[in-house]
Amino acid sequence: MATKGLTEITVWYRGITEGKISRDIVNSLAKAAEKEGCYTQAFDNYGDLPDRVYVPCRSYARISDSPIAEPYLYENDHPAIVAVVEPTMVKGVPVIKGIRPGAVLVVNTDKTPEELLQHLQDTDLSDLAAIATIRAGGGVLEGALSGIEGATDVSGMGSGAAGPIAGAIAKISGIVELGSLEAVVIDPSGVRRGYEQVKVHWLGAAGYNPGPAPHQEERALGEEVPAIIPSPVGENDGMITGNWRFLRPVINQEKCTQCRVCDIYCPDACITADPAGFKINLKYCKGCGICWTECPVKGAIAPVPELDFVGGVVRF
Amino acid sequence: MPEIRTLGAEAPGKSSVDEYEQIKNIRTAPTKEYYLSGHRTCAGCGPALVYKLVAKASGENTIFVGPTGCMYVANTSYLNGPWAVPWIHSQITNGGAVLSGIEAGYQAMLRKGKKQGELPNIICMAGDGGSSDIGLQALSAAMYRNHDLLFIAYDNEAYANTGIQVSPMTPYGARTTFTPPGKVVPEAKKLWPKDLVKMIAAGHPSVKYLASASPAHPVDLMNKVRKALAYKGPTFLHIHAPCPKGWTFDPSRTVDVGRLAVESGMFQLYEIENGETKLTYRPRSMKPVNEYLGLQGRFSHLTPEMIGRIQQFVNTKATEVGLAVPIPATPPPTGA
Amino acid sequence: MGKKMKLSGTAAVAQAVKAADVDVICSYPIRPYTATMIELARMVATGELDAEFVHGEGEHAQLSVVLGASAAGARVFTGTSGVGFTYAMEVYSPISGEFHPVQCMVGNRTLDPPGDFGSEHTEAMTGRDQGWIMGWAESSQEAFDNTLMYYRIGEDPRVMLPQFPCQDGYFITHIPDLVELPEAGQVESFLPPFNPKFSLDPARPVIMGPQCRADQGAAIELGRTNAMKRARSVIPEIVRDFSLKFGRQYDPFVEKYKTEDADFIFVGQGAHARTAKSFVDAARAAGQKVGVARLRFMRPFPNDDLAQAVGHAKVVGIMENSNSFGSVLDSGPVTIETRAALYDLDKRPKVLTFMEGLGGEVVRLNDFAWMYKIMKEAAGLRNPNQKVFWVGFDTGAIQEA
Repeated sequence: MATKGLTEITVWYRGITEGKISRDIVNSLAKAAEKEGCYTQAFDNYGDLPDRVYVPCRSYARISDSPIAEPYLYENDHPAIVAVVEPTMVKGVPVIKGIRPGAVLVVNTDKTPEELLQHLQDTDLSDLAAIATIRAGGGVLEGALSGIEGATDVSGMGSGAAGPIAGAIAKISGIVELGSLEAVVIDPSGVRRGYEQVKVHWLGAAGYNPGPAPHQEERALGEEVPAIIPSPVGENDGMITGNWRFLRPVINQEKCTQCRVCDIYCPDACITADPAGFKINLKYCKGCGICWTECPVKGAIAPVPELDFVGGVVRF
Repeated sequence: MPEIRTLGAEAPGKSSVDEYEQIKNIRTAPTKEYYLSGHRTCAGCGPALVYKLVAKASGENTIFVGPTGCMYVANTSYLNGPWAVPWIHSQITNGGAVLSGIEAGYQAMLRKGKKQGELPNIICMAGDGGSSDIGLQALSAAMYRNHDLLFIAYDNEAYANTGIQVSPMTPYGARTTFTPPGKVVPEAKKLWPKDLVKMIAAGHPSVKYLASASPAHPVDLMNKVRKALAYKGPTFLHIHAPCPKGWTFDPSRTVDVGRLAVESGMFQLYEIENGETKLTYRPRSMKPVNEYLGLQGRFSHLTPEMIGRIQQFVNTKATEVGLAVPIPATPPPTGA
Repeated sequence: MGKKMKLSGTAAVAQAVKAADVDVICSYPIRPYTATMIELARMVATGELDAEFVHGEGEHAQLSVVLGASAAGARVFTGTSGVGFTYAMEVYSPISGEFHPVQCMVGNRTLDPPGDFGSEHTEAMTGRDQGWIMGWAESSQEAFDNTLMYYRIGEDPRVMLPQFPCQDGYFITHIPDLVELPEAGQVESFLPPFNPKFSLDPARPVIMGPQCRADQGAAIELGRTNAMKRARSVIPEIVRDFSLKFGRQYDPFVEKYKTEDADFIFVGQGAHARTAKSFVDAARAAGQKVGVARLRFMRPFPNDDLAQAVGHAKVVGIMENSNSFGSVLDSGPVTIETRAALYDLDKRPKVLTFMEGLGGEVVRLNDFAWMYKIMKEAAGLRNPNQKVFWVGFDTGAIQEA
């Protein structure tokens, strides 16, 4: 039992496409910890549901050596372990916000920890002990699209990308033993691979030894909110969606014929038909790919991995 | 005393459409958006694309009613919304009724001088559940009462917001979370879908204009919206809305899937004007339905025999409207 | 003085709706409220009233249609009874939650079963937690007056809540009674045109009823709570103004009929309270210190006024005309609310409940005499062994518990 008190694990995933991977990670870790005599929970972030294709979402595991005092929360308070199934979220989503001091970040990517760090330049890393990477596979486009919500589907648990990510978490944190994980998944070779191949970049002294979670915050007093609100002007910046994107459409202005096919088909109204050169509104572009699929001119719009660009996506 | 309008006039005979500004092509389509960036719909969301095109066509003097469904929840989940024109939520049950009330309110206030100006475009954007299933009663009443309004069913063929459950518009053979394929039910959904447009057309004499549309044919879609709005009285549009989440396809293929639905005859584009049905698009040569089904994970469990049944269904529909049927359907085994 | 004529409660409401220059009416037939709609349909057909008369396809649609029309900025009217009331249940909360001051009259009727046409308040009571102003008239005149007062209260910018003015089926809805109709200009001086801050207007677009996260929900619900709280202070102001303009006096929340020195006080609402007052008159003539506290509002519930009106009594007898199966003492909502309202008093009266008039059964003077006898006996007991009595089903014999 490698936890004293409550350890919270947060897994970030892309809605729908990676839901099963994420739920498998939290389920397998919780089940393994249960084998070791811990009290556990695994569940979805209810506020992220219903999830939508590519929206950043969270699943949670909570592992404790004593009964869990507050079993009914929507969100993890202060995770000591954060995993990211699709690496672009490191750039666009505040994945380490609210972590416990000494927490670790595990990212599924073929990039190195050092490469990911350049996307975290503007982020306060003082509470982060390490950034680790594992090439677990299961890219967003390969993920099974499934409408099933809730962390209850344990069929085929730990196959695909979930196994190596769970294995990497076990290795870096020791939150569960490799053997316990191997015993609860259908593909022990996957977790073993993750356990063995994880690359860790310690930001300070090596070793997972998280400090205490901050005390529960005092409730701030709220006030009445109306159920009728003014309509937005120009854009709805109450729902910024640029961080859903992992592929960025890039227009080749020389090839672009300004036919407006991309513009007319963009569900998110992100393309401005400016005769001086068509523009894509990256604040909202979800990277769905309709524009580059429908563009009648070969090469006029190309998908480029968002991680090839440093900056340019808003964190909330 | 001003003339008192009573609901119910004008049913017999033909109605003609006022002048309306047609959109010629994509390049010259209006650029102004009324369904703005900033909504929590799926990447590649078909219904969102439909919404954008409808709002673009209807313009600024428009009021939207949004019954519960993805286009309520995904658009407003966080106490905000993407519409530049007025929008009001309705229950999934009562889109047609709230829509009727807005129209009746405007008619009375304009007549009595309590409001100035002209009647706005009053449009309900209901999903297939909010139109063909739990919302059918309110839809039928709105069409019956000769209100001046437009009811649009954006059809993504399932209750998608709640996690893809079967609706009366879900095609035969589709997997949903309420129709999982299994040993006992190998084809997943066993029933054939309702034909909502025919249902409305057949029994609502006040409705002089109905049409089907697809976001894969955006100019046609926008012109049908404008034409429907130009008609006095109730009008109805059935708009196909491919759903990457519910149908299981890559979100970059939304328009593609919509296009193939039309090319394969699974979704026909037509108008019913004063009782006369007219195809507005004729596929040059119908593609096998398998090409359409094959793009989507929700049909991945189907056997050739089941696909044959769907081809037969499509062929029957095509023959009804005089389309050539180049693809023979696998004849079902005896007794089927 | 306006013209006086005999009108049923339903006909009186139709007159008031006309006087209020309502823009949209949505109908669906169900006994006994229907009579109001029949009258309004006639008025619209003859041009007496200029309004859109929409034939709803059911009560759910009625409430939905008036929601839409009110959101567009129109003054609206609808109504229902019995199972029709519960069929529309889904729409009540959206109407109050988006602050559409819709008026929906209720002509009370039993739910099914028994499904008879008789009056019982249970159906309307199922809507008391939906954020609507609600109360009962005891006469055609009060039904007329309430229609106007409720529009004014509901449309007050500090309130903006929908309203259920209720009247007992048959007793009020169908028995004609003297009503004084307004003189020219009287209604206009009391009820200004409806002018909401927000409406569905493309010139000033708004989003009505967006969804929110679970952690934003309480902040939205607080809106209705605060509006209802403000209604408590707005109502007396408006009732006073009504009395000033129309010359008819009403206690804002609780009519205190000979309660001041009473040792025994009946608490109730609607038609039966009128019979109770006749009983009180007779009993007073025989030297009995008895009175009636008649609730004019159920929402907002007048807890302070009620406690003040009956706190000094020895025994309070609740005339319970609605049923809440399995509730406190197996009683009904008036009992639950009254007992709660009295709880904070240092010295509380004993509280008995009389389940009376359920299913629409008539309650006679003799029945009140029977209730009164039990109340007097209970006064001599420290803790009576029975506190809820079904009129016509219980013997009423009580003793120390």
